[in-house]
Amino acid sequence: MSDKINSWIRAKDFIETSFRITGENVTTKVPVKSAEVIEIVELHDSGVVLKVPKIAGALGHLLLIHIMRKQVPAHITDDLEREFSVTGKIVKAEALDAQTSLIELQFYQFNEIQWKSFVEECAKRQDSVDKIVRQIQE
Amino acid sequence: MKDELSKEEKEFSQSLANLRFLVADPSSSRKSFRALLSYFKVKPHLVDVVDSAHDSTEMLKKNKQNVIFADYSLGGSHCFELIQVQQDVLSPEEVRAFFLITSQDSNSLVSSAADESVDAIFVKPFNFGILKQRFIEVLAQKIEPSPYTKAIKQGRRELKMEKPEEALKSFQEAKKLDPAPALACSYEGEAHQMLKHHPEAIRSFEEGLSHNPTHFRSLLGAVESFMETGDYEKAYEAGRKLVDHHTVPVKRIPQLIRLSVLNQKFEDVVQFYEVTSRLDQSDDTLATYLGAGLVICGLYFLRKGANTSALDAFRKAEVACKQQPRILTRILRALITAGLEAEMKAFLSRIPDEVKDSAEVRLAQIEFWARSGSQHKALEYALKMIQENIKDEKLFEWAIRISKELKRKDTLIEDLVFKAGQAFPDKRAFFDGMK
Repeated sequence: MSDKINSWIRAKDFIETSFRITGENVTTKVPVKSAEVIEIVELHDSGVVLKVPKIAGALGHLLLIHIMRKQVPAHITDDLEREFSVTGKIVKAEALDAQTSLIELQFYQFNEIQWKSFVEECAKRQDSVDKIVRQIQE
Repeated sequence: MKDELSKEEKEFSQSLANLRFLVADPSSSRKSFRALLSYFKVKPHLVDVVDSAHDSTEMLKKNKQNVIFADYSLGGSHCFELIQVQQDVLSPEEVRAFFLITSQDSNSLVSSAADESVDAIFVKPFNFGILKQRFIEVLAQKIEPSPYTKAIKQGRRELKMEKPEEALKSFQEAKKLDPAPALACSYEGEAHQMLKHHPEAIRSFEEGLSHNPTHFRSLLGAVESFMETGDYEKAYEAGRKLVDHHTVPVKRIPQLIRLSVLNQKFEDVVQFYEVTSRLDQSDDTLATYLGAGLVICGLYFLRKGANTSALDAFRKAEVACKQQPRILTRILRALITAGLEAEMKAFLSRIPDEVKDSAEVRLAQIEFWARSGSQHKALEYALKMIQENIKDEKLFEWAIRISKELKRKDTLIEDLVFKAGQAFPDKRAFFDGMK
C-alpha cells in the first residue's frame, strides 16, 4: 500500500541507515566477539576510526572488517554494493570505557573504489540531513 | 589530517577564542570533536568533556558553554532539554550553538531535532572535512550574523520574553533586509499569534508563502492560525501542503490528526494507523492521539450505522493506544451505548486486568447491565464498588437510579443518598433530588 495517500506520515521517513559490522583479528585469527558493539565513527581517505570491543585487538594487529548495509533510506541510491571488506592495521587505540575502545585502522588491503563510494554515500547522508535542517529552520 | 590552517580558518579560529565548548558524549565521537576543536586551536581549558546526561546539565549550568556537541545516545529528550538550559544560562547577546551527533539518520528524527533549535546534525560515520566545513558554516553565522539574521534573532528574543509588539517591529525591520524574507514573515505571524491576532498572522504566513510557497514555518503557522479561526478546511489544505513538502516533526503530528478529525477526514486517521503499524518505533504521544482519533472515527461510523467500520476503527484504536485506560474505556462506553453486547464481551476479555478492574471500566459495565435490563446484576456490582469505598459521582447516581427502578426500600435508597452526599457534599442537593 502506498503510504503517500492521505497519511500525515510516510513510513520511509522513519527508515534509517543501519549497518551490520563484523570483524576478525587477522593477526591472532580470532573473530571479534560482541560484534554488535562495533561502530564506524569517522572515515578517512584510507582508514577508519571504529568503536570496538576492547579485546578486538592491540596496536599493530591487523583487523579485517566486514561492512554490510542492512537498510538504506530511499534518498540514498540503491545501486551500491551491499557489503564489502577492508583490512587495516591498528595504529591508534584509546579506551572508551571498561568494555570498549576507539581504534584507528590504517588500511592495508582495501578496494579504493568501494571505499570511496562508501565515503561518498556517507557524505550524501550528511547532505540530506543538512537539507532537512535548512528547510525547517530557514 | 592537515594541521596547517588556511587564512580563512585562522581568522575563524581567532573568533572562537572567547567561546566555551561542551562535548557531551557517552559513546564514541568525543575524540573526533576534541580533534576538531584542537584543529582550530581552541585552548583545552575551554573544552569540557562529559559522558552522562546528568553531568552535561551540571557542567552546562556551571561553565555556561556557548557551543555544545551532544550525542543523541544521551537520550533525545535530554538533548532537547540541554538546548533549553543553554538558552537559559546564556545571555541573549552571547553566541549559542548546538550540534547533535547521531548515527540515526531518519528524516523523522532529523526534522524533529531541527524543530527543537538544533543548529546542525552530524551523522556518524562522518568525515573530518565535512565536519569541519559544517562547523565553520554554522558557527561563523552565529558569530557574525547578517543584519537580517540579527534582526530575526532580536525578534525571537523578544518573543521569548513575551513582548510580541516589540518582536513585531524587529521582524518588520528584518523583512526589509532580505529580498525573500519568508522566515521573517513567519516569525511576524508568530508574534501576531501571540497577540491572538489570527487574521493578521494568516496574512503574514501567506506573505511568507509568496516568497517561498513551501516554507515550513509559514505553512505550520498557517495551519495553527486557520485552526484558531475555525477555518478547518483551509487549515487542512495548509497541513496537506506541509506534509507533501516536508517530513513533519513527530510532536506536530497530533495537531494534524486533530485536523483530520475536525474535517471528518476519517480515512486519514485509518491510513495513519496503517503506516504507523508498520514502523518499528512509535511515540507515546502519537499513540494517544492516534488512539483517540480512531475512537472518534469509530463513533462517527457508529452514528452512520456503519457498525463494521466502527468496530474495525475501535480494534485499531485498541492496538494503537498501547492499552491506555482512558481510550479503552471510551471504546467500551461506545460499545455499550451502541448496544453491541457480544463485541463488548469480546473486548472485555482482551483488555488487561488493571484496566478491567479500573473504576471507569467497572462503571461502564454497570451502565451496560442497567441499560440492557440486568438491573439486579448492575445494582449488586454498584453496591460492591461502594462498599470498596470507590467514590465516583456516576457510581452513586447509577446505584440510586437502579434502586428506584427496582423499587428497593426507601430506607435503603435514603442510605445511598446520604452516602453520596457525604462523598460529594457540593452535589448533595442533586442526590437529594433523586430520592
